[in-house]
Amino acid sequence: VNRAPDHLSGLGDDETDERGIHISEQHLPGAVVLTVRGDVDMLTAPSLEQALTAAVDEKPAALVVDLSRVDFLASAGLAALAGAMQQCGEQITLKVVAHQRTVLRPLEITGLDSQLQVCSSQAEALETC
Amino acid sequence: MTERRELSAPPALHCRIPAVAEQLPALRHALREWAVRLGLGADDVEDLTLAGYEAMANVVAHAYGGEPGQLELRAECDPDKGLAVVTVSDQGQWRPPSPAPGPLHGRGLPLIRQLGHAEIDNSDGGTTVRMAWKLPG
Repeated sequence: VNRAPDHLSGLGDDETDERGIHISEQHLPGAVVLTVRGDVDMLTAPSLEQALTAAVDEKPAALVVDLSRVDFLASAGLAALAGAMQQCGEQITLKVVAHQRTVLRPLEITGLDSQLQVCSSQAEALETC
Repeated sequence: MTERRELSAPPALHCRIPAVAEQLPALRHALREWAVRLGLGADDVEDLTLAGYEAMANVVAHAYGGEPGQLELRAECDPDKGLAVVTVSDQGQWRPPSPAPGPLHGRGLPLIRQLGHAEIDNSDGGTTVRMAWKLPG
C-alpha cells in the first residue's frame, strides 16, 4: 500500500492513528527520522510498516526510527522493523533509537538488536550518520 | 480490597472473547493491571503483559484460519507453587511453525517462551499456552 509521505509528515502536527500510535516524519540532510509514540502491536504495526516503506522510498542515507517513546512493542512491530531492514539493504543505514526495557527486551530476545544499529538517543543516531 | 493489598491476591482474571485483534489491547491492559495489583516487579509486569499479548495474538493470527473463534484468557495465582499463572487457550488449530521461519515473522513464540517460561499444549481440540512467573515474597 502506498501512502503519500505527506500523510505522515510534518514537524508540528503528528498524524494520529485512532488506535494509539503516533508517527511523525522528519527530513534532515542525509537522514529521515521517524518518531513513533504509543503502542506498536498487531493493530498498529501496519501503520509503522507504511511509514517505514514510505521513508525507505525516499532513499535517504540513513533511516532513524526513534522508538524511545514507545510504551509497548509486540512481535508485529519487530516484523515491521525486520521488513524495513530488508528494504534498506546495503544502501540505507537503519538505526533504532531506544533506551527503555519495553523496547530493548523484545529486540534482544529475538536477536534483532544484533542485526540493527540500536542507539540510546536520536542525537547519537544522527551523530554517526 | 483490603488496605494491605500486597498480602491479598487480586481476584483471578477470566474471560472468553471473540479472537479478534481489536479485543486485545483491553485484555492486555487488564492483564497488566492484574500483575501490578499482584505486586510483581516492574520487569515481570512488562514480561507478563508482552508474553500474554503474544499468546493472544497467536490465537488471533493462527488458531482459526480466518474463521471466527473464541479466545480464553485466565490469570490466577497458584499459592502452593508461588506462581502467577497466565493461560491462553483456543479451540482451533495452529499452523505448524515452519522449520525455518522467514526473516519477517515467527518472533511471537520465542517471546512467549523466553518471557513466560511457557508450556505449550497442542492437541486436536485446540492449543493452550501456560506461562508462569514467581510471586513476590
